[in-house]
Amino acid sequence: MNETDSSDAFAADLLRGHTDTIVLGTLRTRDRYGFEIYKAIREATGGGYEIKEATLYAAYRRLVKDGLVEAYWGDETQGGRRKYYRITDAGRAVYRNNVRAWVATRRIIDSLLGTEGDRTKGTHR
Amino acid sequence: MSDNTSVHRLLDEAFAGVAMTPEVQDLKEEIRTNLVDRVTELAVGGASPVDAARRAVDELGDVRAIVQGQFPGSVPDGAARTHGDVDDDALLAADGHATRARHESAAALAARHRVRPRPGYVAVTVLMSIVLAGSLVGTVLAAAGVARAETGPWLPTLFTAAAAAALGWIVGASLAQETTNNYPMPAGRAALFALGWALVLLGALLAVAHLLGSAPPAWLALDGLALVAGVVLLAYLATTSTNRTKPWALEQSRRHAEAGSRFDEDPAAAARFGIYTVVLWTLTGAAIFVVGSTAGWTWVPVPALIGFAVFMLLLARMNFGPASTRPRE
Repeated sequence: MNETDSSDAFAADLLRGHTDTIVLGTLRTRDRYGFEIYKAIREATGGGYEIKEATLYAAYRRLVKDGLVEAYWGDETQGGRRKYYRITDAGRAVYRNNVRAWVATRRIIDSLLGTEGDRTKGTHR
Repeated sequence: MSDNTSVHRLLDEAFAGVAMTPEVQDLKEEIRTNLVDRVTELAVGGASPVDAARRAVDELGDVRAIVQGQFPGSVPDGAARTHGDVDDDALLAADGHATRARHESAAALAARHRVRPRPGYVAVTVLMSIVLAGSLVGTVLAAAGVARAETGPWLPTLFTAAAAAALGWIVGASLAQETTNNYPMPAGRAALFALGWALVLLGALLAVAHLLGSAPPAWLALDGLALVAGVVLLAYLATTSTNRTKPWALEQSRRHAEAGSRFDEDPAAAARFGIYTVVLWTLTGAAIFVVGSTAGWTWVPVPALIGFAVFMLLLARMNFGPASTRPRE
């Protein structure tokens, strides 16, 4: 019980370190609003871990400030208007760089922890 | 659903005591629509409306901490409860960047972020520029040759195609380069920009060649089509383009904007400057006329230059002068 807790915390910490890149990744194919982004991340993690909404709101703000994402209000006629986020060309460039860095890091950590074989097994799960 | 009023009431309670600046109001509306969606989702899962609203707001965590992290100063000191849910590091990081950047000089920032152009790109661009210039001259000469029936009609077309390809390459490759200030444009978009400019040049140059060579009107129509297609493509690209500037450069332009213009802050100074400008140029005009009609018109640039220099000094003095001359101090 205690062991799963600490491994969960470890995974959540790792995820949180990549919040900005993860958000950029969800926006690559189309514009989304906050709840869609939250849901996309929740589904990708299988509901096991989640990135807190507070973290996400801070990430949106930071991404907009850095010009990596643009925000605009949708034109929904029913109910409240939604704030959509669109990835910019700068955002795409940063996303690509971060993915490259992550792939390199993953290789190093895998070789340090001796887990190279596990990754291919994991994908067949 | 929007007829579930509990969620709105809970949101208002969560924001109680927070100073409602336009930015905070914006954040509240964004949170509201996201909450309503989450409540709908929970209700579909079988939760009662009140439970769903309560759970959605609980999941959100401490709103005051979110606001405090994003807009320090909106929440009274000590009002933000430290909540287990809130990721303080991420919130702090948002403002850490800016503070650090402010202490560095513009030159130091530019040096740290400097990206050298790739030698291969520079070499090929120089080569392509030569090809472009050569093909432009070649097109005109060949078109003149066609007009005198000295060369075949295919020669101007060949030169035009070379010019369009060279321009397209320069545009596309330049946009796809990372620079000190900008991230590279994605390859697909850069290629479309290249195609747009190539079409525009192709249409325009062929039209010139066909006009010079008095070609049949049908060919001119085709040239026009290429030109219009290029313009339409470029217009589409321009309206859908997004930011490419790097965060440090954005931050710097923000700082420059903060330094501000005195004319924005002090309308009276702006009005004075306007009047002085009119007086200065009236006098300069008179001086030009007097000098021209007495000393000869070749001397006219002298009063014009003096007038321009005084105008620039006036602008520098009035808009960006030392703070001690500012009326506010």
